[in-house]
Amino acid sequence: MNYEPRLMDAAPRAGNRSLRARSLIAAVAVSLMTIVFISPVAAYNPANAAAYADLWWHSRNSAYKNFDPNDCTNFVSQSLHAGGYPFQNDGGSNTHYQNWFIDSLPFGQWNWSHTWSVAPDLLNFLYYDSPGGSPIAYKAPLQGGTSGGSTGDVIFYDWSDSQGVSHDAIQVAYGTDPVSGWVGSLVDAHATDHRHAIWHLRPYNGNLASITYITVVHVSSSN
Amino acid sequence: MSLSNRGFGITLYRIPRWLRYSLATALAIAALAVALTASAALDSNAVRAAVNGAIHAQQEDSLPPPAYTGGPMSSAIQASITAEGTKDLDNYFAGPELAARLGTLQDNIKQQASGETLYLGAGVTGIEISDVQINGDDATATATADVWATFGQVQDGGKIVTATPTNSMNYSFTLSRINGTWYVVHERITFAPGSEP
Repeated sequence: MNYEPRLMDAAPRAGNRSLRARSLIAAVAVSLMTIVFISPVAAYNPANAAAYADLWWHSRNSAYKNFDPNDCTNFVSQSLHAGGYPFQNDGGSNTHYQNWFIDSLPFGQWNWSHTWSVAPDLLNFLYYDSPGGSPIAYKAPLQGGTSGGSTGDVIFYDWSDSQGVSHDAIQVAYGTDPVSGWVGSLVDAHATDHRHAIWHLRPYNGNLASITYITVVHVSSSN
Repeated sequence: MSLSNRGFGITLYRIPRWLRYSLATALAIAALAVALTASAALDSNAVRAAVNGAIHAQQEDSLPPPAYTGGPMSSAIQASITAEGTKDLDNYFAGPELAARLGTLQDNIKQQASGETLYLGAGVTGIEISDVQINGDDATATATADVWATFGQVQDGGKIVTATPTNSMNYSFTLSRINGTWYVVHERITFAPGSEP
């Protein structure tokens, strides 16, 4: 028995082609909209990452787990993801250095990789992910106005307190730090929340007994 | 007739020998305990003084002489900071920790050398030393303090914009007594929770 609709039988061959083309265009459009509006954009867009950081610098996005008082890396990871850096091996091992993700589970539970929330693990992830990020500047002890990085890059801090890298921030602009008045590359950060703070944080660090070692990691826009 | 002869007084020869020896031993032990306590107190004070001096020295020794008002720092000024800082740090630190402190001093000098960032002042307030433990010629101690520093950024046109951050710090020290003087031989410094930059 032939169940093919009569309408199709009646439609001219050229009309069929037109219908298929329109369906294909619609499918592509829906896919693009899905990519644009539901998941992060395919390529890392530093401006989008910076915009997210500026939006959430002093509040916590309930779409993510809150890691306070150590929310710095979670905040940087959120910003990277908002900029289009895709999850890597979502749902995989929490401790593998090449996995980077966070997932909301039922009943307020979360599943996340250490690379998402722990500063040295994020540094390691960016270093080993491909194209990931690449260290472009190690700053110690010179701390001029410019970090050597650009908007959307990640800056890691080692306070020389025997803990190694323990803090990070995302570079968001170049200009004047509204709190200190210092001019240079600016970052947003959580933990001690900062918006547009001068990248080396010298105006916020009165401790002269320890040198801050800083690693600037350029995040590839190909991610 | 004295009272003692009548049996009302207490004289040493009437105290049984075993009791006299016991009393003498007890007195000697008490005297020794007092001496040891006094010595421990002196040691504790000496350790506290070393810790106090170390915290001040490492915070304040990187400042340039008042004559320096900015611009690229001459090698003579750098040498002056090095000499004064080394002399001071040498009073409180020894061994690898002294080497580490001298390294930090040099890093702080390098940070000022370009003239972009000025060190205009530094100090420590509210030092609280606790948990001093002494075992022979070794000791440990912990401390908290608020450190501050005034920095200046030299901007276009020579304008200097200053900032004076204050941070609460936690310290843990290991000390050794060397030739009768206590020195810090290991130190760990961390920001107090909530006081990170």
